[in-house]
Amino acid sequence: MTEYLLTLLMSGLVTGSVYTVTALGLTMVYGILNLMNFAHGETYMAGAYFGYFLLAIFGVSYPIAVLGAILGAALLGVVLEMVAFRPLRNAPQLSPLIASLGVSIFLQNLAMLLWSPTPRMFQTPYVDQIVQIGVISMSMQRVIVFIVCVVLIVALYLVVQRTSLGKSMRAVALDAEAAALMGIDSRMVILATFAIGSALAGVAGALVGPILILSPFMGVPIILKAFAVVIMGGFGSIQGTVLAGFVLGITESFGVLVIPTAYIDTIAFVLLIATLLVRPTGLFAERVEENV
Amino acid sequence: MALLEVAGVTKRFGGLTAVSGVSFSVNEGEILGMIGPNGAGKSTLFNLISGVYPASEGELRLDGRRINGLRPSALCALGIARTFQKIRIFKQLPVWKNVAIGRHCRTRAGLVASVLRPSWVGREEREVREKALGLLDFVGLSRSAEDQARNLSHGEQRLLEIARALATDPRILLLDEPAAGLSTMDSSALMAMVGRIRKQGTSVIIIEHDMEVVMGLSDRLIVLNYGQKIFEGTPGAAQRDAQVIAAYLGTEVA
Amino acid sequence: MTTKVQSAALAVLSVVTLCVAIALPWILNSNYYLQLFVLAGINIILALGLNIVLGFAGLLALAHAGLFGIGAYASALLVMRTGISFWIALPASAAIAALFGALIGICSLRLRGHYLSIATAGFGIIIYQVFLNWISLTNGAAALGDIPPPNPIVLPGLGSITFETRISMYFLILAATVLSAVVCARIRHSRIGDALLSIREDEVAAEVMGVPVFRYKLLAFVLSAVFAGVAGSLYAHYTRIIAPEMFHLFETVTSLLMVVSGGLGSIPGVIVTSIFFTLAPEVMRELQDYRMLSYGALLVIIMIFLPEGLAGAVRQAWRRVAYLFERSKVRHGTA
Repeated sequence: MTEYLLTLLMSGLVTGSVYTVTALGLTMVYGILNLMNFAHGETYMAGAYFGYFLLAIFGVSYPIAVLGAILGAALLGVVLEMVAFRPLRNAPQLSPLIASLGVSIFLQNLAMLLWSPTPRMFQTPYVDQIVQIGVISMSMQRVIVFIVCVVLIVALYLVVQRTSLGKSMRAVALDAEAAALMGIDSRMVILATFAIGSALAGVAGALVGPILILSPFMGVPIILKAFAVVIMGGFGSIQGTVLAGFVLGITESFGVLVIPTAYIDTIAFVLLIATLLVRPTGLFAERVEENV
Repeated sequence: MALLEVAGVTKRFGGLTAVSGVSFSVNEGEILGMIGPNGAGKSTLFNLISGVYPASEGELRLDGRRINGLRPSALCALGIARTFQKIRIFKQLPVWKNVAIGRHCRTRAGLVASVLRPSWVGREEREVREKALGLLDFVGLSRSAEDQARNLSHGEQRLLEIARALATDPRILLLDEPAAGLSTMDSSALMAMVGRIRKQGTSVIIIEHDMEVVMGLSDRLIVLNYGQKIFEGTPGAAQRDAQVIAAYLGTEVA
Repeated sequence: MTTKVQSAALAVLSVVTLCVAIALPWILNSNYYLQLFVLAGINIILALGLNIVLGFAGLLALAHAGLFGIGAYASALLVMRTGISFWIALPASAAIAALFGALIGICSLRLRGHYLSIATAGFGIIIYQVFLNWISLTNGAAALGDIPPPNPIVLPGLGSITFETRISMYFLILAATVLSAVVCARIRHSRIGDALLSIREDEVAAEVMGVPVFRYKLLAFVLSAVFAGVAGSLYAHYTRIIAPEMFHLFETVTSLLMVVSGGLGSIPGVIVTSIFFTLAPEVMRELQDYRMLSYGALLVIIMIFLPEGLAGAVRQAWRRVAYLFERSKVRHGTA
């Protein structure tokens, strides 16, 4: 029994780390543009497919495939920002949100036309390799997912807190005009944010792709969960996002004990709604009152 | 009895205390001036009185009845109306509709009546339009009644906010820097207008940086500095008060 | 002056459209095309509902297709399981949808802007999941079939109207569409419509000027759910078979495209684009595979290049015509 529970815990940590990485990409863009980007899920999907094609068709090794997925996703993010979101910078608040929903639907259907709706298996050498950790055993792929995600989370935290790029990002997020007066090129900072945020989605896709099944619509459940994590974690809080991501992953994992698997995907929203009813600004954000 | 009483009201934002233990009252038909340097807590006080922010401490009373915690819309129905320092008109609606929305709390057509339109609904709508046009005339905007509100000049938008606030039949009107962006001529017209509003029995609290306007209009003056009330009395006395001069007038008048 | 001319033009246009709509079955003389117009009517009702919450109150609520589905399943199951008449099931399913709309509103209206949209999208997904997985109730992905058509209306001494044929369904749905449009227009031009628009413009100012914002947002959610519920009930008893796929987030996006391209808040605009986007994919059959792809792209393009939609374009054209007209009057000395 303990073995089973520990296995569930581990698998919760693995999914939680993926949710966290995806959600961090989302919250970065939200912080800087106030845009909840629906197309973030499709960037994740694209990352998974990029990795798959590199590995299955071009025969590169898995680490190279993941790297390719990161670059491809970052490029996709930059293109989306330039084509769809930049022209809407001064539009009413809902316009970029509606546009991002449009981009999301567009990319799903584009993927379906290009790559067919047939689900694909993303086989890596690590999927069938079993490692023994104490009493529990799990696939090497999951171990890799967890380790890479944790490294990325820490790296992102350091980039945002320590580097000049991170400082510029925080400055633009706080007040774009003031940042521009300080000589920060906000266009470049926004592009960099999109690139990094999308890269995070892409790497998440390429990492979990081999555990899941690839489909053009695989971005939908993850984006909604990432949204839930971002809101639960509280606006802009990295710590909050990390905690909420792991809480969700673990809750889902243990959820199989109590509810039918078909409803596991709804846990995110039940948690989200429960959080909102208790603390409308998320678990970590300070209560912000609108300036009148 | 005073119409509005503010008793020991404090407002904290996180660690910052924007308003600290302020007390004062406003009588019926009185014009109370409120001055103080930027960041002294004047607008925050307006936000507390109009219910936009909840007070952290202290009590607000209207006609002796405690009004803490009421929604702004409920306070509006009780007779508290205001304008905003940073203009907040309904930009994409016609000018007269902006004023008509101020009538919302004084009209009663609900969902069913709006859909079935019995004859009284049409009557009510005509009354609202007439009242709105009358108020636009009062503030001198009747020529622009059908224009989109966003096409008005800055000064006109301030006047529109006053008309919209008056449409709610306020007992007390809070004016937040109404003369900002007005020419000298326009601000004397504004002073005359505020005088007329008071004659109709409405009390006014006015935040204003233009000393001529605020000194000329106010029956009484309160001065805020760092969230605290440092003076209350006649405008004349304020000009002689050492603390006020040091905090505020000294730098402005000299 | 121009507003008077405009509203007169709109009135004439509405009457003409209604006449054409009544004559349509004989004009088309084709069951296939008539069926498309029946679907257009349902889409209009659905889009008008979304228009209340998005176009009037400025809230992007994304559970619309889910509420549409609740109306459809509620109506179908009420008739099939309890045997009550369609004419009772129709208002009952609207009420059930309204109840869910209120529930979603109460939970998500604590959030603003983008957060609200996401929370409602979440509700939409949950509803879809329930349709898909509560097999004992909905039959799941296998679809719920054999839904009876609306019960005949018996006119004493004159026989009865049955709804077995396309043409009678067409007139039923035409009546519902016209009624929905009238109700929508009346709400839009009432005190309630003004209150909703003021919330869209500036909700802090609206609240301070006496509009109880939460109550009106909730009302917008409920009204929009009622429209979705009615559309769902009509849809279920018209197509006689419903499946979860029809109530997916994609369908919300389709309604969203209809509202956005018509022009947020514009009732005539939304009606025109709803008809257009129902007919277009059918007329251009070979493009069927690219339907959702182009809908996604269109949403982006409209947001960037035509943010006020069809209604905005017409308004602009009208202004240009009025301007040229004025100028020619001046030139000919008739002014």
